[in-house]
Amino acid sequence: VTCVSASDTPHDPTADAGPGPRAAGLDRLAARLRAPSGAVLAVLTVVYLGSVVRAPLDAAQGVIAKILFLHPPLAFGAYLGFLLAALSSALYLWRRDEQFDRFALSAAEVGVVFCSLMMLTGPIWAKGTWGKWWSWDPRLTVTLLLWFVYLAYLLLRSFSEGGERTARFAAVYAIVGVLLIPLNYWVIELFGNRTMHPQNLERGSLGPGMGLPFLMGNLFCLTAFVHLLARRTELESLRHAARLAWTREGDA
Amino acid sequence: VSYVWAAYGVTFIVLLVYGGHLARERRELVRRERK
Repeated sequence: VTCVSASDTPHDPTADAGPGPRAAGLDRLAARLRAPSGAVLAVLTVVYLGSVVRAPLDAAQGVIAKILFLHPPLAFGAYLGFLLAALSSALYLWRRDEQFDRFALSAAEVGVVFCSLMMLTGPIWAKGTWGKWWSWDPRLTVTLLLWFVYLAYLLLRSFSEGGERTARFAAVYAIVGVLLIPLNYWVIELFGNRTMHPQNLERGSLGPGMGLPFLMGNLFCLTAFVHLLARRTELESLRHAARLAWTREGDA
Repeated sequence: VSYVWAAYGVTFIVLLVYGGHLARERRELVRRERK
């Protein structure tokens, strides 16, 4: 049994595509953002890759330092996904509106995709710089834990049958899991900067000519995040409508 | 050098595959809804 909300409305089958006119606010917003964010993403991809290719080489690390324009922006995307999942989960617990639960699941999934890419690109840089793929460094260990926490969240959602109880438990879990983000961000300072992972970037810490590709990397990842989240949210809304239609057909 | 471009390549491939998967499933659901 799930709570009934304004978002429990079937989709208009005559609609062109995506959520119908009575869909919940977040679903409508996602459907509206999908196409424009995709167009912006296509343009940004070209500009971003151009700026990375043209970026000057780092004096100490050489070309491997170009990971800097990809790895931290992916981390910001992962953080954003998990923060939105926690925020939406809190809204679900407060308002008991299913659209927030669906949005939390979507944000967590996109966050896990970005976190997985961060976990892939980091070792590639480490192999080129440290000469080994992995180290049990505090930053790397907490990031791995963060990835496991939200991977477990997705597994919980996929293996459970849904319902209000699952949604409530998942919401609390997503909110507790997000506490790892500040720990992950400041773990290097907590260990007195005695870690292998480079310190957090600060204003002026980028070399000359590296500001633009870094900015473009962040814009690219943010736009990719928005586009994928819009697609994922819309998909969850369509699945929800299909489940409702199936249940009603079964009842009839 | 190959490490850097491998990282960019993997990222773009994963994002494209994931986005393509979402688009395919959406098309399928919209098609079913219209039936």
